[in-house]
Amino acid sequence: MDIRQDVNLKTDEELVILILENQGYFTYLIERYERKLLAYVLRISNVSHQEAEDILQDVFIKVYQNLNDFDPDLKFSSWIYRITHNEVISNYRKRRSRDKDLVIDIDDADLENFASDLDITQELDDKLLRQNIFKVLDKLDIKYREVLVLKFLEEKNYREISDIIKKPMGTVATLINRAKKAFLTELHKQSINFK
Amino acid sequence: MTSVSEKVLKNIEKHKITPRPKWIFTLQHVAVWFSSLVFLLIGGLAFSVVIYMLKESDWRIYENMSNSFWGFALLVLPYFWIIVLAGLVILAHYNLKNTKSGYRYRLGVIVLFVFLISMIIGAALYLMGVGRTIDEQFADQMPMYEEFINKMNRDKRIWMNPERGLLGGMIISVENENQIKVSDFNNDVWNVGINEETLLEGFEIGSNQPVKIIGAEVNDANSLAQGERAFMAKVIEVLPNRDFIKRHPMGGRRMIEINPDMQRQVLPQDSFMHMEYRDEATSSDEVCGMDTDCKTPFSFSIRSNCPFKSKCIEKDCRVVCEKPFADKEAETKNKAQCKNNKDCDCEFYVAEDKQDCVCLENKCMVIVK
Repeated sequence: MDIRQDVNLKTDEELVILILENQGYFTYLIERYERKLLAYVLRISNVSHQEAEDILQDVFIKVYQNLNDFDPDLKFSSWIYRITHNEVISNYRKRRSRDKDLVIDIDDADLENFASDLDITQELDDKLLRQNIFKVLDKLDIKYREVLVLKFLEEKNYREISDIIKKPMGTVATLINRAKKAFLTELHKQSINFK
Repeated sequence: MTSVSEKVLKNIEKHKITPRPKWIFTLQHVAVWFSSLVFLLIGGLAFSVVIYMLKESDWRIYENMSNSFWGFALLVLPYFWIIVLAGLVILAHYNLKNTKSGYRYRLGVIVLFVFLISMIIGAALYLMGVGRTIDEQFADQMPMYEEFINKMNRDKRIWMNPERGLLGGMIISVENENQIKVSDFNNDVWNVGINEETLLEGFEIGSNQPVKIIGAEVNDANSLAQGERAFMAKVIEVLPNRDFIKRHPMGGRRMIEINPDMQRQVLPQDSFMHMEYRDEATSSDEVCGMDTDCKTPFSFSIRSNCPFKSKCIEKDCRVVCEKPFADKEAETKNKAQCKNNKDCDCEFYVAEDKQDCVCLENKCMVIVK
Protein backbone atom coordinates (compact mmCIF):
# COMPACT_ATOMS: atom_id res chain seq x y z
CA MET A 1 0.00 0.00 0.00
CA ASP A 2 1.54 3.30 -0.99
CA ILE A 3 1.57 6.41 1.16
CA ARG A 4 -1.39 7.97 -0.59
CA GLN A 5 -3.61 4.94 0.00
CA ASP A 6 -2.39 4.77 3.57
CA VAL A 7 -3.19 8.47 4.14
CA ASN A 8 -6.60 8.15 2.52
CA LEU A 9 -7.54 5.70 5.24
CA LYS A 10 -6.64 8.17 7.98
CA THR A 11 -9.33 10.27 9.62
CA ASP A 12 -9.02 14.06 9.46
CA GLU A 13 -7.89 14.16 13.07
CA GLU A 14 -5.18 11.55 12.45
CA LEU A 15 -4.06 13.49 9.39
CA VAL A 16 -3.71 16.66 11.49
CA ILE A 17 -1.34 14.84 13.83
CA LEU A 18 0.72 13.63 10.87
CA ILE A 19 0.88 17.16 9.41
CA LEU A 20 2.17 18.56 12.70
CA GLU A 21 4.98 16.02 12.54
CA ASN A 22 5.67 16.38 8.82
CA GLN A 23 4.55 19.33 6.74
CA GLY A 24 4.51 17.15 3.63
CA TYR A 25 1.23 15.53 4.65
CA PHE A 26 -0.56 18.86 4.31
CA THR A 27 -0.95 18.24 0.57
CA TYR A 28 -3.31 15.36 1.31
CA LEU A 29 -5.48 17.54 3.52
CA ILE A 30 -5.70 20.19 0.83
CA GLU A 31 -6.68 17.60 -1.75
CA ARG A 32 -9.30 16.19 0.59
CA TYR A 33 -11.05 19.54 1.10
CA GLU A 34 -10.17 21.68 -1.88
CA ARG A 35 -13.13 20.82 -4.11
CA LYS A 36 -15.72 20.94 -1.35
CA LEU A 37 -14.50 24.24 0.02
CA LEU A 38 -14.17 25.83 -3.41
CA ALA A 39 -17.80 24.96 -4.13
CA TYR A 40 -18.81 26.34 -0.74
CA VAL A 41 -16.92 29.59 -1.32
CA LEU A 42 -18.53 30.02 -4.74
CA ARG A 43 -22.00 29.28 -3.40
CA ILE A 44 -21.99 31.82 -0.63
CA SER A 45 -19.72 34.56 -1.86
CA ASN A 46 -20.54 35.20 -5.48
CA VAL A 47 -16.91 35.84 -6.44
CA SER A 48 -15.17 34.68 -9.59
CA HIS A 49 -13.51 31.30 -9.77
CA GLN A 50 -10.07 32.88 -9.61
CA GLU A 51 -10.98 34.93 -6.57
CA ALA A 52 -12.47 31.87 -4.93
CA GLU A 53 -9.16 30.05 -5.40
CA ASP A 54 -7.34 33.03 -3.89
CA ILE A 55 -9.64 32.91 -0.88
CA LEU A 56 -9.09 29.20 -0.61
CA GLN A 57 -5.33 29.65 -0.56
CA ASP A 58 -5.69 32.06 2.35
CA VAL A 59 -7.95 29.54 4.05
CA PHE A 60 -5.45 26.71 3.79
CA ILE A 61 -2.60 28.89 5.01
CA LYS A 62 -4.70 29.87 8.03
CA VAL A 63 -5.57 26.23 8.60
CA TYR A 64 -1.89 25.35 8.58
CA GLN A 65 -0.94 28.17 10.94
CA ASN A 66 -3.70 27.30 13.40
CA LEU A 67 -3.48 23.52 13.41
CA ASN A 68 -2.47 23.56 17.07
CA ASP A 69 -5.73 25.34 17.87
CA PHE A 70 -7.85 22.54 16.46
CA ASP A 71 -10.08 21.20 19.22
CA PRO A 72 -10.67 17.44 18.90
CA ASP A 73 -14.09 17.90 20.52
CA LEU A 74 -15.13 19.53 17.28
CA LYS A 75 -15.42 17.77 13.94
CA PHE A 76 -12.48 18.72 11.76
CA SER A 77 -14.77 19.46 8.81
CA SER A 78 -16.73 21.93 10.97
CA TRP A 79 -13.49 23.59 11.99
CA ILE A 80 -12.16 23.98 8.47
CA TYR A 81 -15.57 25.16 7.23
CA ARG A 82 -15.57 27.71 10.05
CA ILE A 83 -12.21 29.12 8.92
CA THR A 84 -13.49 29.21 5.34
CA HIS A 85 -16.70 30.93 6.42
CA ASN A 86 -14.78 33.56 8.38
CA GLU A 87 -12.44 34.18 5.45
CA VAL A 88 -15.32 34.61 3.02
CA ILE A 89 -17.13 37.01 5.36
CA SER A 90 -13.95 38.99 5.86
CA ASN A 91 -13.39 39.16 2.11
CA TYR A 92 -17.04 40.08 1.53
CA ARG A 93 -16.84 43.00 3.96
CA LYS A 94 -13.70 44.31 2.27
CA ARG A 95 -15.01 44.09 -1.22
CA ARG A 96 -18.80 44.46 -0.95
CA SER A 97 -18.99 44.05 -4.67
CA ARG A 98 -20.47 41.31 -6.72
CA ASP A 99 -19.67 39.76 -9.98
CA LYS A 100 -22.97 39.14 -11.64
CA ASP A 101 -22.18 36.63 -14.30
CA LEU A 102 -21.61 33.62 -12.13
CA VAL A 103 -23.04 30.22 -11.87
CA ILE A 104 -23.32 28.29 -8.71
CA ASP A 105 -22.35 24.70 -9.12
CA ILE A 106 -25.28 22.63 -7.86
CA ASP A 107 -25.63 18.99 -8.60
CA ASP A 108 -28.96 17.29 -9.12
CA ALA A 109 -29.14 15.70 -5.71
CA ASP A 110 -28.55 19.02 -4.00
CA LEU A 111 -31.10 20.67 -6.22
CA GLU A 112 -33.74 18.10 -5.39
CA ASN A 113 -32.98 18.40 -1.74
CA PHE A 114 -33.27 22.16 -1.84
CA ALA A 115 -36.40 22.27 -3.95
CA SER A 116 -38.30 19.64 -1.99
CA ASP A 117 -37.69 21.28 1.31
CA LEU A 118 -38.99 24.59 -0.02
CA ASP A 119 -41.93 22.89 -1.66
CA ILE A 120 -41.05 24.03 -5.13
CA THR A 121 -42.38 21.66 -7.70
CA GLN A 122 -39.93 19.66 -9.69
CA GLU A 123 -41.82 19.68 -12.90
CA LEU A 124 -39.59 22.22 -14.53
CA ASP A 125 -36.44 21.58 -16.36
CA ASP A 126 -33.55 21.14 -13.92
CA LYS A 127 -31.37 23.60 -15.75
CA LEU A 128 -33.99 26.31 -15.44
CA LEU A 129 -34.51 25.47 -11.81
CA ARG A 130 -30.79 25.54 -11.16
CA GLN A 131 -30.39 28.98 -12.72
CA ASN A 132 -33.42 30.40 -10.94
CA ILE A 133 -32.36 29.16 -7.55
CA PHE A 134 -29.02 30.83 -8.11
CA LYS A 135 -30.69 34.14 -9.00
CA VAL A 136 -32.80 34.08 -5.89
CA LEU A 137 -29.94 33.02 -3.61
CA ASP A 138 -27.89 35.81 -5.08
CA LYS A 139 -30.41 38.36 -3.83
CA LEU A 140 -30.56 37.10 -0.30
CA ASP A 141 -28.68 38.58 2.64
CA ILE A 142 -25.45 36.65 3.17
CA LYS A 143 -26.56 35.43 6.62
CA TYR A 144 -29.55 33.69 5.00
CA ARG A 145 -27.64 32.51 1.97
CA GLU A 146 -24.94 30.85 4.04
CA VAL A 147 -27.33 28.81 6.22
CA LEU A 148 -29.35 27.67 3.19
CA VAL A 149 -26.17 26.63 1.42
CA LEU A 150 -24.81 24.83 4.48
CA LYS A 151 -28.09 23.05 5.19
CA PHE A 152 -29.32 22.08 1.74
CA LEU A 153 -26.29 22.15 -0.51
CA GLU A 154 -23.47 21.20 1.84
CA GLU A 155 -25.88 18.94 3.79
CA LYS A 156 -24.64 19.92 7.21
CA ASN A 157 -26.74 19.18 10.26
CA TYR A 158 -27.75 21.79 12.84
CA ARG A 159 -24.86 21.04 15.19
CA GLU A 160 -22.33 21.34 12.39
CA ILE A 161 -23.83 24.61 11.15
CA SER A 162 -23.79 25.90 14.75
CA ASP A 163 -20.08 25.05 15.00
CA ILE A 164 -19.30 26.60 11.61
CA ILE A 165 -21.01 29.95 12.05
CA LYS A 166 -20.56 29.98 15.86
CA LYS A 167 -24.14 30.53 16.79
CA PRO A 168 -26.44 28.53 19.09
CA MET A 169 -28.45 25.73 17.48
CA GLY A 170 -31.69 27.48 18.30
CA THR A 171 -30.48 30.55 16.44
CA VAL A 172 -29.47 28.37 13.49
CA ALA A 173 -32.96 26.90 13.32
CA THR A 174 -34.48 30.38 13.44
CA LEU A 175 -32.11 31.60 10.74
CA ILE A 176 -32.98 28.70 8.46
CA ASN A 177 -36.70 29.35 8.88
CA ARG A 178 -36.26 33.00 8.13
CA ALA A 179 -33.95 32.19 5.23
CA LYS A 180 -36.60 29.94 3.69
CA LYS A 181 -39.22 32.67 4.01
CA ALA A 182 -36.82 35.22 2.55
CA PHE A 183 -36.07 32.85 -0.31
CA LEU A 184 -39.76 32.35 -1.11
CA THR A 185 -40.43 36.07 -0.87
CA GLU A 186 -37.59 36.76 -3.27
CA LEU A 187 -38.82 34.02 -5.52
CA HIS A 188 -42.22 35.69 -5.84
CA LYS A 189 -40.61 39.09 -6.27
CA GLN A 190 -38.73 37.84 -9.25
CA SER A 191 -42.02 36.48 -10.54
CA ILE A 192 -40.63 33.13 -11.20
CA ASN A 193 -43.52 30.82 -11.40
CA PHE A 194 -42.65 27.27 -10.88
CA LYS A 195 -46.16 26.01 -10.86
CA MET B 1 -1.03 18.05 -6.94
CA THR B 2 -3.56 20.72 -7.86
CA SER B 3 -2.76 24.36 -8.56
CA VAL B 4 -4.22 25.44 -5.22
CA SER B 5 -2.14 22.99 -3.23
CA GLU B 6 0.97 23.92 -5.24
CA LYS B 7 0.48 27.60 -4.54
CA VAL B 8 -0.26 26.99 -0.86
CA LEU B 9 2.83 24.88 -0.35
CA LYS B 10 4.98 27.37 -2.25
CA ASN B 11 3.65 30.17 -0.04
CA ILE B 12 4.33 28.18 3.10
CA GLU B 13 7.88 27.54 2.00
CA LYS B 14 8.51 31.05 0.71
CA HIS B 15 7.31 32.82 3.81
CA LYS B 16 8.56 30.06 6.13
CA ILE B 17 5.13 29.66 7.62
CA THR B 18 4.86 27.24 10.51
CA PRO B 19 2.01 26.20 12.77
CA ARG B 20 1.71 28.55 15.73
CA PRO B 21 2.77 26.88 18.98
CA LYS B 22 0.01 25.52 21.18
CA TRP B 23 0.92 27.70 24.14
CA ILE B 24 -0.17 30.82 22.24
CA PHE B 25 -3.67 29.46 21.85
CA THR B 26 -3.74 28.27 25.45
CA LEU B 27 -2.73 31.76 26.55
CA GLN B 28 -5.46 33.29 24.40
CA HIS B 29 -8.10 31.04 25.91
CA VAL B 30 -6.87 31.73 29.42
CA ALA B 31 -6.90 35.47 28.72
CA VAL B 32 -10.51 35.29 27.51
CA TRP B 33 -11.63 33.40 30.60
CA PHE B 34 -9.62 35.64 32.91
CA SER B 35 -11.09 38.82 31.45
CA SER B 36 -14.57 37.29 31.73
CA LEU B 37 -13.95 36.68 35.42
CA VAL B 38 -12.66 40.23 35.85
CA PHE B 39 -15.81 41.64 34.24
CA LEU B 40 -17.92 39.41 36.47
CA LEU B 41 -16.09 40.62 39.55
CA ILE B 42 -16.41 44.28 38.58
CA GLY B 43 -20.05 43.61 37.81
CA GLY B 44 -20.34 42.26 41.33
CA LEU B 45 -18.79 45.43 42.72
CA ALA B 46 -21.25 47.55 40.76
CA PHE B 47 -24.11 45.38 41.96
CA SER B 48 -23.02 45.81 45.57
CA VAL B 49 -23.35 49.59 45.14
CA VAL B 50 -26.78 49.16 43.54
CA ILE B 51 -27.93 47.06 46.48
CA TYR B 52 -26.46 49.59 48.93
CA MET B 53 -28.21 52.51 47.28
CA LEU B 54 -31.55 50.75 47.01
CA LYS B 55 -31.62 48.98 50.32
CA GLU B 56 -30.51 51.94 52.36
CA SER B 57 -32.81 54.44 50.70
CA ASP B 58 -35.58 55.73 52.91
CA TRP B 59 -38.54 53.97 51.30
CA ARG B 60 -40.91 55.03 54.08
CA ILE B 61 -40.87 58.60 52.73
CA TYR B 62 -42.08 57.75 49.24
CA GLU B 63 -45.40 59.46 49.86
CA ASN B 64 -43.59 62.69 50.72
CA MET B 65 -41.50 62.65 47.56
CA SER B 66 -43.78 61.21 44.94
CA ASN B 67 -47.36 60.40 44.05
CA SER B 68 -46.62 56.71 44.07
CA PHE B 69 -44.20 54.13 45.34
CA TRP B 70 -42.94 53.45 41.81
CA GLY B 71 -42.52 57.13 41.19
CA PHE B 72 -40.23 57.28 44.20
CA ALA B 73 -38.45 54.13 43.04
CA LEU B 74 -37.65 55.88 39.77
CA LEU B 75 -36.22 58.77 41.76
CA VAL B 76 -33.87 56.67 43.86
CA LEU B 77 -32.75 54.14 41.24
CA PRO B 78 -28.93 54.33 40.93
CA TYR B 79 -28.92 54.84 37.16
CA PHE B 80 -25.18 55.36 36.91
CA TRP B 81 -24.41 52.02 38.52
CA ILE B 82 -27.15 50.23 36.62
CA ILE B 83 -25.61 51.46 33.35
CA VAL B 84 -22.15 50.39 34.55
CA LEU B 85 -23.55 46.99 35.49
CA ALA B 86 -25.28 46.62 32.13
CA GLY B 87 -22.04 47.50 30.33
CA LEU B 88 -20.10 44.92 32.29
CA VAL B 89 -22.72 42.24 31.67
CA ILE B 90 -22.46 42.94 27.94
CA LEU B 91 -18.65 42.76 28.04
CA ALA B 92 -18.70 39.53 30.03
CA HIS B 93 -21.25 38.08 27.61
CA TYR B 94 -19.13 39.02 24.59
CA ASN B 95 -16.11 37.40 26.19
CA LEU B 96 -17.92 34.22 27.12
CA LYS B 97 -19.23 33.85 23.60
CA ASN B 98 -15.62 33.71 22.43
CA THR B 99 -14.72 30.80 24.65
CA LYS B 100 -14.47 27.27 23.24
CA SER B 101 -18.14 26.46 23.52
CA GLY B 102 -19.68 29.72 24.69
CA TYR B 103 -21.27 30.38 21.29
CA ARG B 104 -23.55 27.35 21.78
CA TYR B 105 -25.62 29.18 24.37
CA ARG B 106 -28.27 31.72 23.48
CA LEU B 107 -27.87 35.39 24.36
CA GLY B 108 -30.53 35.26 27.06
CA VAL B 109 -28.93 32.30 28.80
CA ILE B 110 -25.50 33.91 28.95
CA VAL B 111 -26.81 37.30 30.03
CA LEU B 112 -28.88 35.64 32.76
CA PHE B 113 -25.90 33.60 33.90
CA VAL B 114 -23.63 36.66 34.02
CA PHE B 115 -26.29 38.70 35.81
CA LEU B 116 -26.88 36.00 38.44
CA ILE B 117 -23.17 35.59 39.15
CA SER B 118 -22.79 39.37 39.46
CA MET B 119 -25.78 39.42 41.78
CA ILE B 120 -24.34 36.72 44.04
CA ILE B 121 -20.94 38.38 44.16
CA GLY B 122 -22.61 41.76 44.65
CA ALA B 123 -24.73 40.53 47.56
CA ALA B 124 -21.69 39.09 49.31
CA LEU B 125 -19.71 42.30 48.79
CA TYR B 126 -22.62 44.42 49.99
CA LEU B 127 -22.75 42.45 53.24
CA MET B 128 -19.05 43.23 53.71
CA GLY B 129 -19.73 46.94 53.31
CA VAL B 130 -18.01 47.19 49.95
CA GLY B 131 -20.96 48.93 48.25
CA ARG B 132 -20.88 51.81 50.66
CA THR B 133 -17.08 52.03 50.53
CA ILE B 134 -17.07 52.26 46.74
CA ASP B 135 -19.73 54.97 46.78
CA GLU B 136 -17.74 56.96 49.34
CA GLN B 137 -14.42 56.50 47.53
CA PHE B 138 -15.89 57.63 44.22
CA ALA B 139 -17.35 60.66 45.99
CA ASP B 140 -13.97 61.46 47.52
CA GLN B 141 -12.14 61.20 44.21
CA MET B 142 -14.66 62.66 41.76
CA PRO B 143 -16.51 65.91 42.51
CA MET B 144 -19.06 65.26 39.74
CA TYR B 145 -19.87 61.89 41.23
CA GLU B 146 -20.17 63.40 44.68
CA GLU B 147 -22.49 66.10 43.39
CA PHE B 148 -24.89 63.99 41.36
CA ILE B 149 -24.62 60.35 42.33
CA ASN B 150 -23.22 59.90 45.84
CA LYS B 151 -25.89 58.46 48.11
CA MET B 152 -25.14 60.73 51.04
CA ASN B 153 -25.46 63.84 48.90
CA ARG B 154 -28.59 62.49 47.31
CA ASP B 155 -30.06 61.76 50.72
CA LYS B 156 -29.16 65.28 51.76
CA ARG B 157 -31.13 66.69 48.80
CA ILE B 158 -34.10 64.52 49.68
CA TRP B 159 -34.03 65.66 53.29
CA MET B 160 -33.88 69.31 52.31
CA ASN B 161 -37.61 69.33 51.58
CA PRO B 162 -39.38 70.85 54.59
CA GLU B 163 -42.33 71.79 52.39
CA ARG B 164 -42.78 68.06 51.77
CA GLY B 165 -42.36 67.28 55.45
CA LEU B 166 -38.73 66.20 55.30
CA LEU B 167 -36.08 67.97 57.31
CA GLY B 168 -32.45 66.97 57.71
CA GLY B 169 -29.54 68.56 59.45
CA MET B 170 -27.79 68.69 62.77
CA ILE B 171 -29.16 69.21 66.27
CA ILE B 172 -27.77 72.47 67.59
CA SER B 173 -29.28 72.26 71.04
CA VAL B 174 -31.83 70.46 73.14
CA GLU B 175 -34.05 73.21 74.55
CA ASN B 176 -36.25 70.95 76.60
CA GLU B 177 -37.99 67.60 76.30
CA ASN B 178 -40.46 69.05 73.79
CA GLN B 179 -38.19 71.13 71.66
CA ILE B 180 -34.87 70.93 69.89
CA LYS B 181 -33.10 73.34 67.60
CA VAL B 182 -31.86 71.98 64.29
CA SER B 183 -29.65 73.58 61.65
CA ASP B 184 -30.56 72.32 58.21
CA PHE B 185 -28.28 72.01 55.19
CA ASN B 186 -29.02 75.56 54.15
CA ASN B 187 -27.99 76.68 57.62
CA ASP B 188 -31.50 77.75 58.50
CA VAL B 189 -32.35 77.19 62.13
CA TRP B 190 -35.50 75.28 62.97
CA ASN B 191 -37.41 74.91 66.17
CA VAL B 192 -38.57 71.35 66.06
CA GLY B 193 -41.47 70.38 68.28
CA ILE B 194 -41.71 66.94 69.87
CA ASN B 195 -44.93 65.57 71.38
CA GLU B 196 -46.13 62.26 72.78
CA GLU B 197 -46.80 60.89 69.34
CA THR B 198 -43.38 61.67 67.99
CA LEU B 199 -41.50 58.50 67.17
CA LEU B 200 -37.83 58.60 68.15
CA GLU B 201 -35.50 56.27 66.29
CA GLY B 202 -31.81 55.57 66.31
CA PHE B 203 -29.67 57.12 69.00
CA GLU B 204 -30.76 59.30 71.89
CA ILE B 205 -31.20 62.97 71.10
CA GLY B 206 -28.29 65.20 71.96
CA SER B 207 -26.52 68.23 70.58
CA ASN B 208 -24.40 68.02 67.49
CA GLN B 209 -26.05 64.91 66.16
CA PRO B 210 -27.20 64.43 62.59
CA VAL B 211 -30.94 63.89 62.27
CA LYS B 212 -33.64 63.09 59.76
CA ILE B 213 -37.08 64.38 60.69
CA ILE B 214 -40.43 63.56 59.11
CA GLY B 215 -43.26 65.87 59.96
CA ALA B 216 -44.62 69.17 58.80
CA GLU B 217 -43.59 72.77 58.72
CA VAL B 218 -45.75 74.95 60.97
CA ASN B 219 -46.32 78.68 61.21
CA ASP B 220 -44.96 79.88 64.51
CA ALA B 221 -44.85 83.62 65.10
CA ASN B 222 -42.28 83.38 67.89
CA SER B 223 -39.86 81.43 65.76
CA LEU B 224 -40.29 83.72 62.83
CA ALA B 225 -39.64 86.70 65.04
CA GLN B 226 -36.25 85.21 65.91
CA GLY B 227 -35.43 84.48 62.28
CA GLU B 228 -36.07 80.82 62.74
CA ARG B 229 -38.57 78.36 61.28
CA ALA B 230 -40.77 75.82 63.01
CA PHE B 231 -41.36 72.17 62.34
CA MET B 232 -43.54 69.61 64.10
CA ALA B 233 -41.93 66.17 64.15
CA LYS B 234 -43.73 62.87 63.63
CA VAL B 235 -40.55 60.84 63.37
CA ILE B 236 -37.04 61.78 64.44
CA GLU B 237 -34.21 59.50 63.44
CA VAL B 238 -30.92 60.29 65.10
CA LEU B 239 -28.00 59.05 63.03
CA PRO B 240 -24.84 57.45 64.34
CA ASN B 241 -22.25 59.22 62.24
CA ARG B 242 -21.32 62.54 60.77
CA ASP B 243 -21.33 61.38 57.17
CA PHE B 244 -24.83 62.67 56.72
CA ILE B 245 -23.52 66.18 57.12
CA LYS B 246 -19.85 65.71 56.32
CA ARG B 247 -20.34 66.51 52.67
CA HIS B 248 -22.12 69.77 53.35
CA PRO B 249 -19.80 72.47 51.99
CA MET B 250 -19.84 74.46 55.19
CA GLY B 251 -19.81 71.47 57.54
CA GLY B 252 -20.78 72.62 61.00
CA ARG B 253 -18.69 75.79 61.02
CA ARG B 254 -21.24 78.34 60.01
CA MET B 255 -23.87 77.39 62.54
CA ILE B 256 -21.48 78.52 65.24
CA GLU B 257 -20.85 81.77 63.41
CA ILE B 258 -24.56 82.49 63.35
CA ASN B 259 -24.78 82.50 67.11
CA PRO B 260 -21.59 82.23 69.12
CA ASP B 261 -23.69 81.52 72.21
CA MET B 262 -24.63 78.23 70.60
CA GLN B 263 -21.05 77.14 70.92
CA ARG B 264 -21.60 76.63 74.61
CA GLN B 265 -24.66 74.58 73.88
CA VAL B 266 -22.90 72.48 71.26
CA LEU B 267 -20.38 70.99 73.61
CA PRO B 268 -22.13 69.95 76.83
CA GLN B 269 -20.51 66.67 77.64
CA ASP B 270 -23.46 65.17 79.52
CA SER B 271 -25.87 65.42 76.62
CA PHE B 272 -23.99 62.84 74.59
CA MET B 273 -24.82 59.21 74.99
CA HIS B 274 -23.98 56.12 72.97
CA MET B 275 -21.79 58.07 70.60
CA GLU B 276 -18.66 56.27 69.47
CA TYR B 277 -16.72 59.41 68.87
CA ARG B 278 -17.19 60.52 72.46
CA ASP B 279 -14.49 58.13 73.52
CA GLU B 280 -11.27 59.74 74.57
CA ALA B 281 -8.21 59.36 72.47
CA THR B 282 -5.72 56.66 73.19
CA SER B 283 -3.22 58.10 75.63
CA SER B 284 0.08 59.10 74.19
CA ASP B 285 1.76 56.86 76.79
CA GLU B 286 0.32 53.83 75.10
CA VAL B 287 2.19 52.30 72.18
CA CYS B 288 0.24 51.68 68.97
CA GLY B 289 0.86 49.22 66.14
CA MET B 290 -1.54 50.55 63.49
CA ASP B 291 -3.97 53.40 62.87
CA THR B 292 -6.94 51.44 64.20
CA ASP B 293 -5.27 51.30 67.62
CA CYS B 294 -5.81 55.05 67.90
CA LYS B 295 -9.02 57.01 68.45
CA THR B 296 -9.58 60.65 67.62
CA PRO B 297 -10.22 62.75 70.73
CA PHE B 298 -13.76 64.01 71.00
CA SER B 299 -12.70 67.65 71.04
CA PHE B 300 -11.18 67.21 67.58
CA SER B 301 -14.08 65.17 66.19
CA ILE B 302 -16.47 68.06 66.55
CA ARG B 303 -14.19 70.76 65.24
CA SER B 304 -15.40 72.19 62.00
CA ASN B 305 -12.19 73.32 60.31
CA CYS B 306 -10.91 69.86 59.44
CA PRO B 307 -11.99 66.19 59.44
CA PHE B 308 -9.32 65.15 61.91
CA LYS B 309 -8.10 61.58 61.99
CA SER B 310 -5.88 59.52 64.24
CA LYS B 311 -2.81 57.86 62.85
CA CYS B 312 -0.17 55.66 64.38
CA ILE B 313 3.13 57.38 63.59
CA GLU B 314 6.30 55.81 64.94
CA LYS B 315 4.23 53.78 67.43
CA ASP B 316 2.62 56.92 68.76
CA CYS B 317 -1.01 58.02 68.28
CA ARG B 318 -1.16 61.46 66.65
CA VAL B 319 -4.07 63.56 65.50
CA VAL B 320 -3.62 64.73 61.92
CA CYS B 321 -5.38 66.96 59.45
CA GLU B 322 -5.12 65.84 55.83
CA LYS B 323 -7.29 68.41 54.14
CA PRO B 324 -9.56 71.22 55.29
CA PHE B 325 -13.34 71.43 54.94
CA ALA B 326 -14.67 73.81 52.39
CA ASP B 327 -11.46 75.23 51.03
CA LYS B 328 -11.49 73.73 47.56
CA GLU B 329 -8.40 75.59 46.43
CA ALA B 330 -6.31 74.33 49.30
CA GLU B 331 -7.72 70.87 48.86
CA THR B 332 -6.74 70.88 45.20
CA LYS B 333 -3.19 72.11 45.97
CA ASN B 334 -2.82 69.54 48.67
CA LYS B 335 -3.96 66.66 46.48
CA ALA B 336 -0.58 66.42 44.72
CA GLN B 337 1.37 63.46 45.96
CA CYS B 338 4.51 63.98 48.02
CA LYS B 339 7.57 61.81 48.40
CA ASN B 340 9.08 63.31 51.55
CA ASN B 341 8.45 66.04 54.11
CA LYS B 342 10.26 68.64 52.03
CA ASP B 343 7.47 68.46 49.43
CA CYS B 344 4.89 69.72 51.96
CA ASP B 345 4.16 73.15 53.41
CA CYS B 346 0.60 72.57 54.74
CA GLU B 347 -0.38 76.19 54.14
CA PHE B 348 -4.00 75.10 54.17
CA TYR B 349 -3.98 74.68 57.96
CA VAL B 350 -3.96 78.04 59.74
CA ALA B 351 -4.86 77.21 63.38
CA GLU B 352 -2.31 77.77 66.10
CA ASP B 353 -2.12 74.16 67.20
CA LYS B 354 -0.15 73.06 64.14
CA GLN B 355 2.83 71.07 65.41
CA ASP B 356 4.34 69.64 62.28
CA CYS B 357 3.82 69.19 58.53
CA VAL B 358 4.77 65.73 57.21
CA CYS B 359 4.45 63.52 54.18
CA LEU B 360 2.58 60.29 55.09
CA GLU B 361 1.29 57.71 52.60
CA ASN B 362 2.26 60.16 49.80
CA LYS B 363 -0.06 62.81 51.25
CA CYS B 364 0.80 66.02 53.08
CA MET B 365 -0.65 66.09 56.60
CA VAL B 366 -0.59 68.44 59.57
CA ILE B 367 0.11 66.90 62.98
CA VAL B 368 -1.78 68.80 65.64
CA LYS B 369 -1.45 66.64 68.72
